[in-house]
Amino acid sequence: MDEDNKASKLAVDDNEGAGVSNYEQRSACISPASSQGGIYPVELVENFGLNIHRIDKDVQRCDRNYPYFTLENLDKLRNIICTYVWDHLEMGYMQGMCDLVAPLLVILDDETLSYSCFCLLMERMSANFPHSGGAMDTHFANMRSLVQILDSEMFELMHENGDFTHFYFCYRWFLLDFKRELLYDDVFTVWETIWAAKEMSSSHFVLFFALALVETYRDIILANHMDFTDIIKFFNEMAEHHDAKTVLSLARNLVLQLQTLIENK
Amino acid sequence: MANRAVPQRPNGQTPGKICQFKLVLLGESSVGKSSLVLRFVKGQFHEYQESTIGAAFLTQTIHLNDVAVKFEIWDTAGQERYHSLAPMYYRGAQAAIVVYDITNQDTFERAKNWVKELQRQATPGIVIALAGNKLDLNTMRSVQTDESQTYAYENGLMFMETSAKTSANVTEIFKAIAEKLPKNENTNTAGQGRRLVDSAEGSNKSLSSCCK
Repeated sequence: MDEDNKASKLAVDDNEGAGVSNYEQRSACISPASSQGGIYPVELVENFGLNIHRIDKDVQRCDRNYPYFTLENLDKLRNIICTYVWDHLEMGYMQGMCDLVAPLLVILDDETLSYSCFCLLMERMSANFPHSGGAMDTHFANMRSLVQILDSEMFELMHENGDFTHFYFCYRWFLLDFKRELLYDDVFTVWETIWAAKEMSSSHFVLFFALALVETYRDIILANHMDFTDIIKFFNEMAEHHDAKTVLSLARNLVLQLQTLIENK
Repeated sequence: MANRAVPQRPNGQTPGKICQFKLVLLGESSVGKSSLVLRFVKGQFHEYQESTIGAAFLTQTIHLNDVAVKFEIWDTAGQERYHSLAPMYYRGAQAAIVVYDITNQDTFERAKNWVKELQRQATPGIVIALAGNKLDLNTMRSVQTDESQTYAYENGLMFMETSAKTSANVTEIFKAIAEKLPKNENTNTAGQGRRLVDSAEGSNKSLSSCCK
């Protein structure tokens, strides 16, 4: 079945994008802003100026309730993003980047290391951002297939409320690898699991964690017959209140469930 | 849910009529869209309100005489790069608040573009309010009240200067919108404004599908 084929791809480890080839790809793609000497065109400087303006607006309001983000450390955050954007001016600054740098900076507490990690992280994440690859639509389609296969009752509800199938309530989840949904300690655990899962079980573990989030509250969603707006509101309110350990363990079970399903075919 | 439109706190009175409206907030990044909503819905203000990713959905009910007006509010991401998501959220909206920052002329220009887009692509007859936010920073003002007032008048918009920080004019602007919205039987169908479409459909077909 078509849905099964799609799903089976999600449960196997794929080796596309191993570190070396990605590194080569990156260095082959020279930014117009790369330092090769000479004089920078006015448009390039103006473009970068605009980006810095946008970066400043977001850096100063990034996780300010978290004690780590003193003015000094916010400067580090700003440096990392400015450097990245200078090297990727064709992409430019996009809202959400601050959220991806912040946990790295908190745990590593080192500007250079955090920058390097962020560059590697963005190799996977950049396609999720608007105008850079349409990976978000693929995530939504994959979610749809997974729900259809693993929770038909939920799929039925989503089908009734047509809008549900767009899965836009997962937008922030996928854009930021759940960073806004979880407390910092849990972000570290979940991110490490996502990274490790690429080598151990599935390079699409984010999908299973997303599905686990939905499944954690399936009884509430079903009992209240929630539609798209109910569910987006529900998850906005639940942000940082999830029991990440339980969700993680459910996500692992869902990978196993799908693998078992495929093996038994 | 059948009882969706019933306000949570009818304040002991028997609500005569319940009207439900979809309202969308648009405007440049960091002008205070989320702060206005947070003030209106929860009475709170965060000096460093984080940027909105995707969109947030909140509801708030206000009472006008014997009518309970329930706003279903879509708070959108402001950055230009997320523009393509906007039609999904303003499509089917009966009201919009286009927000700019009175200390930043660029955000006012961006607000004008949002107004143009709404008038071209959103539901015909949509009630649009222009909000010049950050009135608490009046000493750093760069957009003059006269200028916005004239622009709003010429384009048939409601206009208020607001401050999510001090709460000046926040409830007022929502109330003024509620007063202006038609409250006949056809507009209060619960759930009517909740439909979302994918962004491509929203941007290309909204005019034709709304004109039926």
